[in-house]
Amino acid sequence: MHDETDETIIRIAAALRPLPEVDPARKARVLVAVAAERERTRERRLRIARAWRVAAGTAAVAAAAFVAAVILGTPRRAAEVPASARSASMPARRDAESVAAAARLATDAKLGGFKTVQVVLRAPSARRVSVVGDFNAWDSGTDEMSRDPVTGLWSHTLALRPGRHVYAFVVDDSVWMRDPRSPEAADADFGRPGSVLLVGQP
Amino acid sequence: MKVRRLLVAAASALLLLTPATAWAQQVAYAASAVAELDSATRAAVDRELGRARSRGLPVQPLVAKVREGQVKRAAPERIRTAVSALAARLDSARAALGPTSNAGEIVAGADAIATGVGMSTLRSVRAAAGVRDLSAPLGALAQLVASGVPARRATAMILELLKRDTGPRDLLAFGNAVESDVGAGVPAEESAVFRLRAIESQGIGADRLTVTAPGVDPTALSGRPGANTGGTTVKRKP
Repeated sequence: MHDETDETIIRIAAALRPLPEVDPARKARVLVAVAAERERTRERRLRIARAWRVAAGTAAVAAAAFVAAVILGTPRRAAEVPASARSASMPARRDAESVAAAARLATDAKLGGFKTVQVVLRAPSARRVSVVGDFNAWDSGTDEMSRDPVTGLWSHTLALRPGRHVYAFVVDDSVWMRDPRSPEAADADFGRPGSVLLVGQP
Repeated sequence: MKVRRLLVAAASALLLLTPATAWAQQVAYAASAVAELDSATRAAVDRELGRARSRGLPVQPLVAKVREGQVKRAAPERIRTAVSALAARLDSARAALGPTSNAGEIVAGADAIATGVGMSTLRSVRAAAGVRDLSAPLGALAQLVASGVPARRATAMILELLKRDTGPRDLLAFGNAVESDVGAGVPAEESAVFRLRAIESQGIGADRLTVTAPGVDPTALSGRPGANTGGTTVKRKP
């Protein structure tokens, strides 16, 4: 009896406790900053991975050249590459990379870049919730949602390109759940509809 | 002599490793997706991935299809069928769009084919767009057809917008707006005609207008992701 009363009081208190007001503009700025930081981190990781690949490739070529030189007994050949050719080939490669990066940025700018979208799900008893969709290749390990301890709401902010996206939630690694607030996306392949997210311009 | 042979083998292996590093990453990504499949399905999916790779088709959408099937707990047979069907669509899209088409265009073309757009339509869009990227026009076309606009009508609209040099931003907004209208109860073709006319005559981006069907509370739509807010509200006559 005591427990029940205490629980009721706690529930009433929780309901009456007002949430601090948040300036919507400030909240939007924070969401954009978070998404931008995620994008920066992703790009940093890609850059590091690329650097490792280049380093591994260079080391492999150097080692192969060294071994070939030892075998052929003509170590000078490797060094006989004209300096002009060496210096020309490296910047050319760098330029090619920067041109590719610039083209990518130009495409993004043309499409209006990314837009942040917050997805929310109420699942108080869930232990783990992920959002999956075409934007993360349906990988449930990529976009895990975080739970608000007070409300029990699960939320996650996605940085998406403008266009049409299909998504759903995966609860406790086993339960497929489409977003009831969004239009349904039919699924001819597997018969498990998702939800449609139409992302406009930022 | 033996040492020399070993060194030659090591050098060859190292040389082979260099270009294979990026490819190996793709293979590892694909392998992680197919690892949980039973052996028969894995073999079939591996064959599809290998075939797509050898034909220069994008492999990532096929791996994503496997993951989608897994996360939806689909039967292995269904995953195999879905992957094969997608590979066939990618192949058809590339055949229609030309060998120089990029991965985004091929994927958008495959999506359009899935909605019922024919290969001759893809060819006509390619011819109209020239060297311009087709990802957005084909994405919008697929969206229109999936929303219920007849394929021939939708194609004519996209070709018209391409002729007017409409950019990818407006094309994407056009597709989104029509799908959003249809979700709100507006007939597909009616919405498409209205949105197209708005772009053509007023130069208004399709995402700046709100179309409301009778009996639908416009404020109820505004909270929905992708729903259009602001701008002029045009109510359809009952």
